Amino acid sequence: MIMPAPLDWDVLIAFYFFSSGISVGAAVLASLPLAFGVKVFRPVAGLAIITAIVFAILTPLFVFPHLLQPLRGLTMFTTILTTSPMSLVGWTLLLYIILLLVGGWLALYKLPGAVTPEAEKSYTRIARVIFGVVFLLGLLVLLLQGFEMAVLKSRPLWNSPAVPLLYMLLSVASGLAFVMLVWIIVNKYFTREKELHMDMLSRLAAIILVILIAFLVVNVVEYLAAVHSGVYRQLSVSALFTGINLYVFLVIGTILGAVIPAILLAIPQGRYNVAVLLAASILVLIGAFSVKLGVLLAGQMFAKVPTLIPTLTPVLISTTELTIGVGVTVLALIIYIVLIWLLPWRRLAGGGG
Amino acid sequence: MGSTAPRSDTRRNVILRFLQVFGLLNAVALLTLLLPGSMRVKAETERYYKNFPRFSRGEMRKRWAMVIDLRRCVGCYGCQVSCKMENGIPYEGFRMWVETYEYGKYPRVRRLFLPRMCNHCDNPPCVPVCPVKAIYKRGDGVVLIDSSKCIGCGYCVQACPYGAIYKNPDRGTSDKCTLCEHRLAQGLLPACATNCFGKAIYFGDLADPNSVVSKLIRENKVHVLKPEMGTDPMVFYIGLDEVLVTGAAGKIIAISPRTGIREVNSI
Repeated sequence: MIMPAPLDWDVLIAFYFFSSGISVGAAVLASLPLAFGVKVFRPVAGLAIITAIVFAILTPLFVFPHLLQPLRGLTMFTTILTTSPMSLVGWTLLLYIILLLVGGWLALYKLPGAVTPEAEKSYTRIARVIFGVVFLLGLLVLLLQGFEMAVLKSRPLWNSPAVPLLYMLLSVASGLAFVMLVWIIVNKYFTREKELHMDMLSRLAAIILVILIAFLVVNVVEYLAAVHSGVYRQLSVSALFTGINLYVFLVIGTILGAVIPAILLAIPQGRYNVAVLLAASILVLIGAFSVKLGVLLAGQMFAKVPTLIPTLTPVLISTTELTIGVGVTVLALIIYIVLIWLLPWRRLAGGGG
Repeated sequence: MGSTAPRSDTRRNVILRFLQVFGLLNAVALLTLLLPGSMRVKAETERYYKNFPRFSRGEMRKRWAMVIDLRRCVGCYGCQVSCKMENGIPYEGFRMWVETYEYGKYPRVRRLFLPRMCNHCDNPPCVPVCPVKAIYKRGDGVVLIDSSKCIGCGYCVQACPYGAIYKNPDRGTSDKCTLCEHRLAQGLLPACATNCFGKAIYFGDLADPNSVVSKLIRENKVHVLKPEMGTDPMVFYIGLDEVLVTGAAGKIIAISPRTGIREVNSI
């Protein structure tokens, strides 16, 4: 009889990766017009800022219930330990959230209301610097989250330089897809003007498509390379295609969540319609969560005991953590809906770049 | 909406720019991944045994180590039980446990008992990853967890290649073997070494060439677990069957109090 092992990093960690991914993806989108002057994305920048802020602030709510000593977890912010990716993620995330709040306030309240051209110019310059740093910090958060896993030699599946890259790609794609989804829903069903800015959406779709293609290419390279590597790594990669992971990682995560949206988004631009974009963005979100969960589960299926013979051990997902994860996600969505209803995110679209 | 042609051009440019960046990143990832992993493992193992045993002397000029003579182990689980009793370990947790391996073909069937614990590595992978410095290596080489600092994130649990750290639900922290440091402070041996009635567990100072562990390592063929990990473990095994280490054992029945009974193919 094989006893299933409880997970040391349970489903809340997948929620944490998912939430921070949406936040950073949205922040990247907001940075394109505000830091790099890509004016075509200016209409969606306000919405992207709110998305980034809400999911960034809620990200710690997924981590702290997972700790055995949640309150003591705050002691992580008393010292920076350069040898620990977890310590670096904590600090980078904190700095990212602070700058995002400052940049968000500036972009939503100061930029659109600037009365003189001089004031607008200086606010634009400050916003450019802040969002430039937010862009870099956001990507750094994602890379470091990937490194949290990639540094672990004891987990052959995660111990790969491709893991941070894969996490970054998937996270940015999920953030862009989330903002696109909300933009379409809000503008198509909850406003009178129904101005969707299809030109902007098609470019957004193109970026998501390229990221998905890059993700799939790195994935294929990663797992093909595993075939030629050591037995530990071969076995641990096989965990991705074993048991429930066959559906979580391969069917839902990769095929439904990356291959099919890539095909949908590859439809020539003239034929894009809202239904295709909606379907693609929903699938990308489902896929991003599934892939992250699948990799998390599969990495821990590689049993370290008994030690002499590497084996795969079935793992148990904690229902408590699953309930907390779903609960916090619902809370995040409620807060998000209230904020996009209350905050003046549309004002940003009217100003100059 | 503008006309189709300029939009297509812009879209193509965006795609091309992204492809350039990600193409470069993919190429870098590919080159790194194609390093043959099996060669790396073999080379690491050979390098480890060339310079054996590898350890650093801390400021205490001592290096506590354990030698387990598997030829004398009768599989009584005395070490596992005495560890639990000495340290008040909960039912689901183990600081020390005994694994059983059955292998070979009738009539040459063999059984091996393998006591397992924290290896108090000279280069412990659990120490640098801890985000709050709760886990540390003492001057005499004992790797300890400060339960007043540990936040229970489980990073050390993930980092340990030996599965020797577990989350203790009673204490709300990570937990592992301490080599009974409270007993060491009083000049006593760890509980497992004291209670081993087959006299299979030896404990001593590896930095002292006249200690029992130094002599045993000098005079016998010893193995450590997962030398390729570069952790420099301080738990040494005498009598670990070569077929298990080299992976020539074929089908194996592995029994562990932590994972149950299973039949696996050795590699």
